[in-house]
Amino acid sequence: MDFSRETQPKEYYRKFLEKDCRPDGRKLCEFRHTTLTPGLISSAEGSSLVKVGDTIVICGVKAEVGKPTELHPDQGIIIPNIELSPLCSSRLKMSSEEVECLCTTLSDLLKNSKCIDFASLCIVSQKYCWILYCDMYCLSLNGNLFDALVQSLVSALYNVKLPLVVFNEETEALEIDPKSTWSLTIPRIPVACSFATVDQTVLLVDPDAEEEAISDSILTVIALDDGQLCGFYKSGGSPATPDMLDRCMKRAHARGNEVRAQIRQSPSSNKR
Amino acid sequence: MCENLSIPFLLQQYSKNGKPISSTSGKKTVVRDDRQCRTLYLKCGMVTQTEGSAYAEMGTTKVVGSVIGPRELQRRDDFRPKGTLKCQVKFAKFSHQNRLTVEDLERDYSNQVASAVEPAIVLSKYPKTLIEIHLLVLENDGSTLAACILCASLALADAGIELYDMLTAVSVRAIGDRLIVDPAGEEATRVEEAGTALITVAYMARLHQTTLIDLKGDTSVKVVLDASKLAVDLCHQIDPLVQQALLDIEQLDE
Repeated sequence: MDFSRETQPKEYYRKFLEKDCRPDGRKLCEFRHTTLTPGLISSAEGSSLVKVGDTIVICGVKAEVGKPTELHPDQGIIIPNIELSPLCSSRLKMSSEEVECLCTTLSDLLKNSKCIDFASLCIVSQKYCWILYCDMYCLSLNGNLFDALVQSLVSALYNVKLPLVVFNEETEALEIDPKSTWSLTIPRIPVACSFATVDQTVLLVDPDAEEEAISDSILTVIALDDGQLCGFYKSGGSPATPDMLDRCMKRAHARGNEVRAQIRQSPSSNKR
Repeated sequence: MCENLSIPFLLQQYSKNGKPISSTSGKKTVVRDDRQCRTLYLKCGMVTQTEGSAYAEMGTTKVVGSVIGPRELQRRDDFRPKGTLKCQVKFAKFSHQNRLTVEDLERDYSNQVASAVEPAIVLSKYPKTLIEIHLLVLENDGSTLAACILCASLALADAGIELYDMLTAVSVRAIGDRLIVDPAGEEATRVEEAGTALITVAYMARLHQTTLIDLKGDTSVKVVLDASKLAVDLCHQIDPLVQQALLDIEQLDE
């Protein structure tokens, strides 16, 4: 019996990489099968379940009414939150600081990509605004958590249905009409695409847990609709050549178009 | 984190016609018989990176669980001749109508599920090991404890841990003398009224043994006995579904 997969994973992988393929049958530039299911959770205002191969992330959006911040009195607030528990993997290695970093990255992504119109979430300037809490739970983790997180966050926000709220100036109270709902307009959808570099030259798209463990570094590109980029992350590891970065960006744009089509065509049905 | 105090909009003000908005406004109410359970869906093997996992859906209540173990216990001082079981139940923040932290409920459910499941596991075969069960409630719409127990039992079977028997669980709500099976939504939550109770029973169908009876509320002895008997009958009805979920794992492996 061949135990080299556990004892010498890199050697095992090299045998496959020489022939331009991977142990799970994918080509080097192939993503795993991705499914998107919006509107699963009826107790949430918006929700989405994303499966990228075996990595499963569910995002639920709860809406509450509160006071806008001092810095942005005319804007609503969106707070992403990620929870990783041993439920998703028995070999979970992420520390809570890394998870907090991911939350901050997602929060920055929503602001920098300008995909959400925060002003539409404001009800009364300086007094009332919508606060959307986006809670993401990883149900199963087999590599490439970030792509799944971004996709689930964006598709959950795409799926959100908020009731119409009107401020009655005479009674100084908010009037909520739960039957008439409106959705957020998301003109530009950011899509994340992660790559792993092995042996400083080989580029693997959508790495799973084994591939992340043998990789030298992980690159993430976040692409927007019109050929623009709104995020590029490469944290340490082996250096990358400009040619490699170029290939990453091209692949990310192609992938972005596929995922955007999937999000836009999914039936945005919230069971309410 | 946001420092502002935000209020769930449903608890906020009133609607235009001056009536407070209830959490079920706008939802379709399904008419069900008192003795009829909601649709049950069970599946094993969702999570590939843990030893065992399961997904249970009782109507709209959804629970995901996975089992990690058996793992060697790190503590070298106390040798335990029987395996140790740890259970953790977490509620997703979007699982309720109002986004609340429910740490007390989580702790309560964790203890309940652990005590319901422990008698079913052959712990004597796992000395000095730790078996962990992690459950996540995705949507809480009544019968959540029952769904958690079903999920835990299936996840253990999926992990290949030896069990004396599979567990089934059912919740019954008693309003005076009236018994409602598998309460949903508002029916499940209003236990504060006098003379009402929520009874959850965990039962091993082949061994005819009850591992847990949980009563919340106040009611008479006769009602508790009737409710338990009704719950046991329903557990027998649910058992074939649990068996089928196990058979499906076998087919997947082939």
